[in-house]
Amino acid sequence: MPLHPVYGHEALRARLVGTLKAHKLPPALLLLGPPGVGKQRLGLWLAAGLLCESGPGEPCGTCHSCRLVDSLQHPDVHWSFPVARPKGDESKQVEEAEETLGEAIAARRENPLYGRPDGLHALFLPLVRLLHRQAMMRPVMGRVKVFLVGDAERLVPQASSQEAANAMLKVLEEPPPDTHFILTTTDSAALLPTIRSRLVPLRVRRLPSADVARFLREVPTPAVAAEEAEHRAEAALGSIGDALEQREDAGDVAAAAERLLEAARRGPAARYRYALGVKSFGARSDFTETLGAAAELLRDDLAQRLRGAAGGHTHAEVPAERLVDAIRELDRAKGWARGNVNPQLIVAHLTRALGELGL
Amino acid sequence: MKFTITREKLQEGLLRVGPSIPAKTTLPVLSNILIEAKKDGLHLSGTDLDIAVATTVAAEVDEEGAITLPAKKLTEIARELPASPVRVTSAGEQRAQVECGKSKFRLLGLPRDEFPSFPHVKFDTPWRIAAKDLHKLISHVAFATSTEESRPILNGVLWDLRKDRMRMVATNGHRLAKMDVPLAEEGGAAQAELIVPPKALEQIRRLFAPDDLVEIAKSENHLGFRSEGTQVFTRLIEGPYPNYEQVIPRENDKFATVDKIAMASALRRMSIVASDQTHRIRLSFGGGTLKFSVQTPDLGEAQDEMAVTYEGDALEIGFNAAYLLEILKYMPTDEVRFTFKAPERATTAEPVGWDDAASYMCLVMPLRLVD
Repeated sequence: MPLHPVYGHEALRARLVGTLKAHKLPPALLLLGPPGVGKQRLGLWLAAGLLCESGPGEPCGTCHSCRLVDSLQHPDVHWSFPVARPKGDESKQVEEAEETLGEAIAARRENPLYGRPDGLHALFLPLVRLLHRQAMMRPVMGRVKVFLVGDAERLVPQASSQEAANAMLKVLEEPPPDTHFILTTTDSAALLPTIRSRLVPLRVRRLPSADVARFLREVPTPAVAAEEAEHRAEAALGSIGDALEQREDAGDVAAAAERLLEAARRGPAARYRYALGVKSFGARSDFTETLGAAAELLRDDLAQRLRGAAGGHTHAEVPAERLVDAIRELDRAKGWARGNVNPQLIVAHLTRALGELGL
Repeated sequence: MKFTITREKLQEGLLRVGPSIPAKTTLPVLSNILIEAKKDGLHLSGTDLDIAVATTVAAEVDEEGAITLPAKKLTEIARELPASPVRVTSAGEQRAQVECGKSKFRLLGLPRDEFPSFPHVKFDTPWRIAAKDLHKLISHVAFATSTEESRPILNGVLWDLRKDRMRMVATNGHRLAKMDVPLAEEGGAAQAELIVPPKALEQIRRLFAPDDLVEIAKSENHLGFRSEGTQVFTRLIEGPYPNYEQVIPRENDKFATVDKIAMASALRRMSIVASDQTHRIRLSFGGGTLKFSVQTPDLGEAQDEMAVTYEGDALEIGFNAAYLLEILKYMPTDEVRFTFKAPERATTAEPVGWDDAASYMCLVMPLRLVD
């Protein structure tokens, strides 16, 4: 199944077409923006534009090269994204990573709508070595090779393991002449500063609700009914990914966030009991979402208070400055979770910190 | 598309293209062979993206056209067909019927459009070389490439093409092999230094018979080889290759001429007791003797010796025995001449009395001896 068209980002695309036509596209780009706004899709569009037979410029969508990109079959477009850690013999891990990635791409070829990466998936070292190997070869049929690296913050799966990021840095430091790198991330702070400094950042903004609704009506099978599409688009705040992922368990995440904040209000014994009840693994999956949802609850509270809205907020007795500190604590905790710190330790520390802030 | 071909010709074509088809691939179309029926015959092509093979075989073409069909199944069918002409007819972009005698097969393929474009290499001013010389270059040099991921450039073979000679060089940073072969006939548009994957060179060695005359030409990203209806293309590795000339010693002043078989045999014996990690052994030259010794903590020690012709001051030097054995394996003569400068400087090895227009040299870096 070919990829769906790019929705929205007209101004950014127009700028990119200009730089493509002028042969001035920087060789290493960072597409930075919230989850689900279409950064990787935009990266593939850019790859098609670089390789289009009538380009470089706006991809025509009809030439052999554009069609191969749209069906994820172009041999000079190398798309990497987080996958499971290779488990086999170290000498065969690059081949294993290649196979795993190939299977994931085959699945995306069948169904180009994909969800967020699994919490345990990352861009592990063998995957970057594979990229290095491909980067050292000249293009197969195009003028250039394009490497699209999605969710690049996962180059550092844990704070202590930076091998993959360092290997990526090595490629970016000495890029082969006919090669373009497009990295995407939701969190540029999670990238190594040395990698960040070698990329030209491009902000990919949230989409207008009308574009999200149009996507929901036109792309998924079965299509989303117009009214529901409007409703989901409003709630998704400009993220097609969020609109697609509005799941039945959304309420569960909010409830888990409430329970976390509730535990912080209690005494130390209750906090530790709550912490021990949390899973000791999988920091980057549901747990991160719970932390994010808790921060959102506090932000909502703060926003209501700043607007002077009466009622609704649950932390009326907490001064606004402390709410800001609490949000900061939750963001820090999210950073640790991204680094795969044991969720029990995170919760123990976080609930104590929130308790001390008077939440 | 409609054509008729003899079973033998079909098998011949499939046999040539078959090895370029990857056993496992994530791009389904690469498991297929591109079949193009044209006025001049049947063109068969396959690729794993690094290597592409295209061949033309004689066929009676009634209607031109193209399709891709699963290579493995088509090869199996061709092998089992009775000895009768084979009639192939395509129906649309993705179906073909194969008939031979009373056997009939309907195969599902993929549209030609999904097949990646083949490299465009112009053979206007090619280099020409006898395939036997090409085989010689490949078999004596390609072994020295690195298999480490850390420096991918060393995973390739440097091919220095000039008007009057070809040179191949390969190294893993610890040992190096270099061979020059003069060209009988001057050719080639210009000088070129290309880095070629050894896997492609293996294919070339397999596909061209020693008596073939092979034409070689390059494009921006590919190197092409052509002989009698078969073309092979290989993707090139990005350069530049490290300056290997810098490490080739010019001032070695100690020389040893050894019997290859006797030395290899002693090295294999010493390797049994050498460390599994370093394969370190000690070689002591002096007074017409080469003494081998090895000492491995927790395992034991071993000594051996053989007669050699040696010129120069006595020398004690350490080597990775595996590298020395490998070099000896590829030396084309019974006697080998080693040159040395000092225990920490590069050593060279060359064949003695090689009756060939080619010149061959290997280099190996010594290991520090721990006393």
